[in-house]
Amino acid sequence: MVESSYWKRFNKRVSRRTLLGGSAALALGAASAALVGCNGGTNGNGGNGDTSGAPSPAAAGTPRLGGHITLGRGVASLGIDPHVDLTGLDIDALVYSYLYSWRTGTEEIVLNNLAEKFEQPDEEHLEFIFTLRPGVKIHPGGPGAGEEMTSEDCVASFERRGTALTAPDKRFPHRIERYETPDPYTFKFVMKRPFVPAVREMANATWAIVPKKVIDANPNGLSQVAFGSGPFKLEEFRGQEKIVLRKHEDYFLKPRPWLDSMTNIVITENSSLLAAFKGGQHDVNGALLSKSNADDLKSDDNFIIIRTPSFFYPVIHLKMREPFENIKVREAINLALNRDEIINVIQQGEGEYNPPIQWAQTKWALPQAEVRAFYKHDPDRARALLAEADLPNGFSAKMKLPKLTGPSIVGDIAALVKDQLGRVGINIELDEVELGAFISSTLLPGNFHMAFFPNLPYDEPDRPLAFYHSKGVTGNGNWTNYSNKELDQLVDEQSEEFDEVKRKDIILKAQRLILAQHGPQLTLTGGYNYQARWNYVHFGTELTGEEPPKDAGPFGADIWVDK
Amino acid sequence: MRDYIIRRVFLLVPIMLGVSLLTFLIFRVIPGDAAVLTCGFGCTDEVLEAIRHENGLDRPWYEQYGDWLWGVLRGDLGESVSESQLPVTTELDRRLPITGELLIMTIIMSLILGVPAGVLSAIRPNTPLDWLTRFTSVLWLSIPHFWLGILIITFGALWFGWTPPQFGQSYVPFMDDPWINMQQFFFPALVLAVGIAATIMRLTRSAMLEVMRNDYIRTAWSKGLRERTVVWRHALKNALIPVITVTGLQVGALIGGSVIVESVFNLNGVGKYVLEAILRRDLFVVQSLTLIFAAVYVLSNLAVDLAYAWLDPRIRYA
Repeated sequence: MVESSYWKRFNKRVSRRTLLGGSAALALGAASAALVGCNGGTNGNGGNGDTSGAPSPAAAGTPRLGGHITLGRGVASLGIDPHVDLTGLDIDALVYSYLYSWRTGTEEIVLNNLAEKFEQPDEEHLEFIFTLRPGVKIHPGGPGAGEEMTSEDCVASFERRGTALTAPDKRFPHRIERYETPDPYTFKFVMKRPFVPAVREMANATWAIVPKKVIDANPNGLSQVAFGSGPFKLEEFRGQEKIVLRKHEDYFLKPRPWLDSMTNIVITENSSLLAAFKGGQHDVNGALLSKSNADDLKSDDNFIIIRTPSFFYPVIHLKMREPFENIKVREAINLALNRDEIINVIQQGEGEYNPPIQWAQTKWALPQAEVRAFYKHDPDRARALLAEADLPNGFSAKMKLPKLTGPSIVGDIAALVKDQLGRVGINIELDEVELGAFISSTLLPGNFHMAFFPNLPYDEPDRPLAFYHSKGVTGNGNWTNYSNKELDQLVDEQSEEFDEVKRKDIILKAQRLILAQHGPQLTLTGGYNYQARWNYVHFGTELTGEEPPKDAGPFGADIWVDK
Repeated sequence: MRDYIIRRVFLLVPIMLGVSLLTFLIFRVIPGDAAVLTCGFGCTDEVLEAIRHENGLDRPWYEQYGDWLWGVLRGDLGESVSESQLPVTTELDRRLPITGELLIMTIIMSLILGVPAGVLSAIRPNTPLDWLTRFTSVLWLSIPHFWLGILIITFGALWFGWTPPQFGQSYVPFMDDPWINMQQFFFPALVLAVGIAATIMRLTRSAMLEVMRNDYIRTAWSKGLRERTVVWRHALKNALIPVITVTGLQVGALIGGSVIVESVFNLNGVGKYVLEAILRRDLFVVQSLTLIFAAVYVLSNLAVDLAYAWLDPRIRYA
């Protein structure tokens, strides 16, 4: 095995740290929120958050058993089938077990759940062997209640995740050649080809390990029911109103979870959601907070505010036909864009430039200095380039964007972009299309000259790069008709390179190639997310970047209150 | 009268058929469907077709419509085609009481606010009271529902530390806890009511001014009746006919307004349900709710017509 592989670190973590977690779930939950409501992709995890307000979680004292919290939630959950539904992944992360967790920001893999040991004996990284923790029991009240989770459950879950019709991104499961279960506590699978993103994928909330008996007993799906082995069991699910979770008394990390219960209240109106938090009806804020909202809350000692880099990812997509197939036109657009103005006007002065991989993926994104040096704002040069492209008077184009519910940040950025491009003679007509129509009539058939929408807030570099691959993110083709064999090769290479150092080199090279091409996607800027809670609610260390205690549980299991 | 009512109720059938067919056809014309949204940004043609097939969305439109209609006749309004796949009737059981209570409270509040103010304005024309009433009505007409709702919530929290109880708990029926229930519905109903109250106020004023000039009112004055008797007993009953008409017609506008107010105040009623269903292209949910809204609208108009006969004995329906 190569020296700098993910799995080296994985095994090191096993020996000195037991648990941490659930972060992947929050990231994907936020991703779905961003898609549904353009909420900017609350990261909700990671090791790089700033805490302000009352006492830091680390100094908060000894956890106490008991209590209840109410969490605000801005996006309705249509279903909680972890393998299919994207709008309930934060709930799934509390109800189900996972093989392990992934600490966004530090990108550490930690065994906090079912797997207590991992082996990858082959140099090609094709075999994955997990030793499962004994004594992880299924929730009471459903199929297999009280029984232990076994390798059969892992196989059933992986197979379901890989074959369910509406399951997202199946590139990883499609590469799995076979599963093996030598005994109840050993789960093994063998890949046809190496696939590095699989490491991140298995920690994501759509890869929940659902008991096989629960799967078999619910052939119509798990959209409205849930029986897992996680720290909380589902007591009531009304995804558009409220979701109630109760402590799993037989959780393997007793006495965790500390809380007796938690309730998610769905309020889709952001200002109402914020008022409910400030008014004390919610213990944990669910509203999207702007910088000014966060500053306002910071002035009150009753609240704890955490700032995390945003994976929110607004992008201009250019169709590779006249005039955008001319690189001079694409460069002119880039030069006409004033990214500092976007940061100042839209993000209230707080943000960074996004290279092809968002800046928040600090490990993989091009250095900020390099990106800022490249993305110069130079309207005069932009006009000159347009003239060189035989467009001395500029041109007109329609930019399509989806009409999303929730705060209007996408529309706001689009309006500013229109204004900036107009200053160099590129007259943009904004065509805001209802989301369903946008996907079916604009995006999938590639029916646009320019399109503007946020990509999902990915926290792994493979997916952002896949947008530039000639096969696109779906594997069926690139929406922008862009094709670059050299780039295709780099994107493919990085997805099979387990050596982190080598992979990073490839990824940086790919980004520089994309920058030089000025498209087909023009990335803009990214900012921060703010989370807020009342100061009597204590989270684990997953948001602070501090070293978690050895017996720390997955997210949710470590929340406690001293109210 | 009975024949008239029966005839009007029978008229519901073609109206509701027309409305449902129109809704269905509109959904066919607009781009995108529930399968597209379920499939999402990373969709492929194969998966999209498979989802459509699984939900029966790839069948001819008349088959889909016929199946749904047959289900309606058997009391089955179909299932959501979103991920939840919940039966529409299950959701309606929970949500109809909420919207029903909101609408009833709104109508009551708008009448309480609008009629007395309109009467006072009419019997004291061109006085400061009249000017104040007229100014208030214009103000109330101008205020958007969502803005007033957000103001109430924001300043309620800021000044009084109060937020509506439904921000932290579900709907509480009136019979379970009247106090909580009133806290849940008072302000949403007030927000919806002010616009209608303003219309009622202005209409009552003009109708009263007209009626007060009639001979029988002059006769009542000359008989030496007290002002209260003349106004409330003789004038108002006759002035109310146009007011009742407009109030009945407002039911349609109220259903539209409830969509916004339910979202702002987090009342999980039918208005919020239909908005979410439209955004998700959830055909059978929208179809069924449109049918219900059409029925409510037609029946409320029937109720208005019947109220005429009660208010004015000269009106008789053959």
